[in-house]
Amino acid sequence: MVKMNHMKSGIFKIGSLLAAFLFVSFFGFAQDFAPWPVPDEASVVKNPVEANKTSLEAGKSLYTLQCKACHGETGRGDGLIKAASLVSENFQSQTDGAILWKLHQGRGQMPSFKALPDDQLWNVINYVRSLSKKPEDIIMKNAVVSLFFNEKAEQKELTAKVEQVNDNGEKLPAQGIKVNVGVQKYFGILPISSTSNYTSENGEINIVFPNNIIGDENGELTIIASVDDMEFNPARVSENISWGQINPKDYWSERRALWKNNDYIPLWLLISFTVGAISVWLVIMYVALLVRKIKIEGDKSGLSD
Amino acid sequence: MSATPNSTSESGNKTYEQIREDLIRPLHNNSFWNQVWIRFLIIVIVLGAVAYGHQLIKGLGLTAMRDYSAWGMYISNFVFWVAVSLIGSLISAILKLLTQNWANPISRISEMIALGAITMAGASIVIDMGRPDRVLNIPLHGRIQSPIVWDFFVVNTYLVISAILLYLPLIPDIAILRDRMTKAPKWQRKIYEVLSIGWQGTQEQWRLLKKSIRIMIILILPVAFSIHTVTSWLFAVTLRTGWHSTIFGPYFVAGAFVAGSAAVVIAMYVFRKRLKLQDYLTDHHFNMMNKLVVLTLLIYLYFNINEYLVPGYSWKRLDGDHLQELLMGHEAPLFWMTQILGMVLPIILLLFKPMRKPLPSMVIALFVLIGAWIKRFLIVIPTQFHPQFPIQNVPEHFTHYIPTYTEIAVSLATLAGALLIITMLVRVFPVVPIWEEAHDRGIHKIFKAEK
Repeated sequence: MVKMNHMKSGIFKIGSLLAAFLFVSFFGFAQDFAPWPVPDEASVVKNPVEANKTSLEAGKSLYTLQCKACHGETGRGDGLIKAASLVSENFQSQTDGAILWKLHQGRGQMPSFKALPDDQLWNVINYVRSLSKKPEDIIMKNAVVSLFFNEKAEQKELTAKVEQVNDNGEKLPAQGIKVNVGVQKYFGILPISSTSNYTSENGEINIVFPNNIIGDENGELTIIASVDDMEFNPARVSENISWGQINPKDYWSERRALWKNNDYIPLWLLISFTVGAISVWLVIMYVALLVRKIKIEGDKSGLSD
Repeated sequence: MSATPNSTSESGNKTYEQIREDLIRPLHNNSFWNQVWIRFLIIVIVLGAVAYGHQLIKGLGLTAMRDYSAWGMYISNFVFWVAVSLIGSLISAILKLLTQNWANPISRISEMIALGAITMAGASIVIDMGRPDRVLNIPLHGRIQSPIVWDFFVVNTYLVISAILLYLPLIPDIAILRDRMTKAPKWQRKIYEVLSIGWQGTQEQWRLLKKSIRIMIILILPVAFSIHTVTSWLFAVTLRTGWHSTIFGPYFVAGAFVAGSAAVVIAMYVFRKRLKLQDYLTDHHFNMMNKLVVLTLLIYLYFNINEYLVPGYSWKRLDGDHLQELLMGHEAPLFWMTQILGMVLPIILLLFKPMRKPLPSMVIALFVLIGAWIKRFLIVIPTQFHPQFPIQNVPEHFTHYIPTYTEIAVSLATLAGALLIITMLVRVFPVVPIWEEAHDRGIHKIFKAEK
């Protein structure tokens, strides 16, 4: 019995050690990033770039390219890996100069962006500042976007038109608005406009539509145009048109059931798996029954002794 | 393999009482070194558990598994443990059905190894999961077309069958222990009391027991073959070079018997020495068991030649890249070491009778077993560095796989786990079946339980 107690206390010790370890590492994980001190001479550097529309738009496109993956679309640090939140009080309280210094330095998983010219980095800083601004700070305008299709002999042309809607419902062509045009695919939107598509003075952009985009079995595509401008509320339009290549349904993608989900399970497989599984377990249960019989038999002969 | 049916030990005739006491004696003797061994295993398991806890919190990023090598050491371990576990079916089922009675004293060793190994096979899969709490999604939401679902089913079924097949022939022995081990600690006596299920050794009980055992040794065969064939299909149904092979099923099964037989030889040696069972695990048993090792090795060699010669002859582009790496490139030293030290040399050495003696054959079996593990590693890892589509823009360290300390610690813990299961079973139950041993030595009385 002494040995048993000994063993019990051993198990208890090991258990509490393990619990302590899990506790410590959990809180180690939950803790935020360590402080990142910035030298004073870097903090006092002033941002020479005005946070105007051009700067913010350039900043946004650079942010999308370089920062979004980790810091997330809205800058909350909710990207693919754990990253600092850019909208937190803590982050926003530092000076622009301090942020620039950090962009130059890099730390841990965060790379150094020294290779980029400073004016581009200032644009990003301006954009990051705008992330934490509350929506009511900016007066948002409304717009509608519409699509027009124009099929010439060999060439297919697409026109997206943006009109600003005033408070009295009046529509006016909006100039210099960025419009993203793309085709809906399985895992997202395939862009067909270049990254710098700004509407002309009559509110339009024209795109030559590529011929090699694969549609469904009728060649049908869903084309999506959306307004991408920080002064405007989101607006988008989607239209179907048979401008894609025909993608015929074939046996291998439609019927080949071994690849597909359980709705397509081949009957022979369903039957052999289920029958096999059930019969093995029936036999196991039968043996369990025999063992039970052994016990009953033992109890009987134990009584008769 | 020529077997002498009803082989008797060289050490002359023993009475039933002598046999019984010889086989029970190790259970009384909780030696100092035994306790040191158990504590050592527990320490290794705790270290592994700490590493695993760390992995649970920080995620699989702590392993060396990346875009190329998405399967690493854990999956190699899984394949290895499944392989080792197959030995229970080879010795207890195949040899028994072929009436190879020399193997009767080894059958329980093989069943204990099978139970320890299959438990760790299941554990290895869960360890490899980033979200182990979602393991039940496999039976709940799995596609029946997926080999993962078949594997989940068959591993669990084999675990249950292995436990039953270990338990059934134990019942009469447990009844003996219930009556003889009156000085054992209370928990141990309670185990005997419950597990002996009122065994009295009546004729009807013997009839039911023999029937149950017979059903189980037939049932375990298709399940054992399924488990390792399905494990091989996890690889073979992908379109990957080095995996996409039609002989992968039998290739894995043959390799499994090699690994398991080697494990049994090592266990036989250790038990013979530590538990003083020289009269029960004799040179004759080592001789026969090592002939079995040679047989399984020869079959495995045959499959190896098929597996490497055919793609090596046609040398398709990706196959060629893969084989180049394996036979002549970066993996070549490990590959040839495994093939020669773990397969070819053991075959040659074991053809000579002195090499089939306990000590030399145990050393050879160690090489075979370690080779078997490295072989699993070489099947799982190198293939993944030859994907059909190149993987782009990855850091340099993604392009090779070296297990991290976390992986090594957790893997060692599974090894210690299997050894602890076997050790604890041997602590509580006799490793050589008492009633079968008596029966094989011509003592034909059906034991009435002694009160």
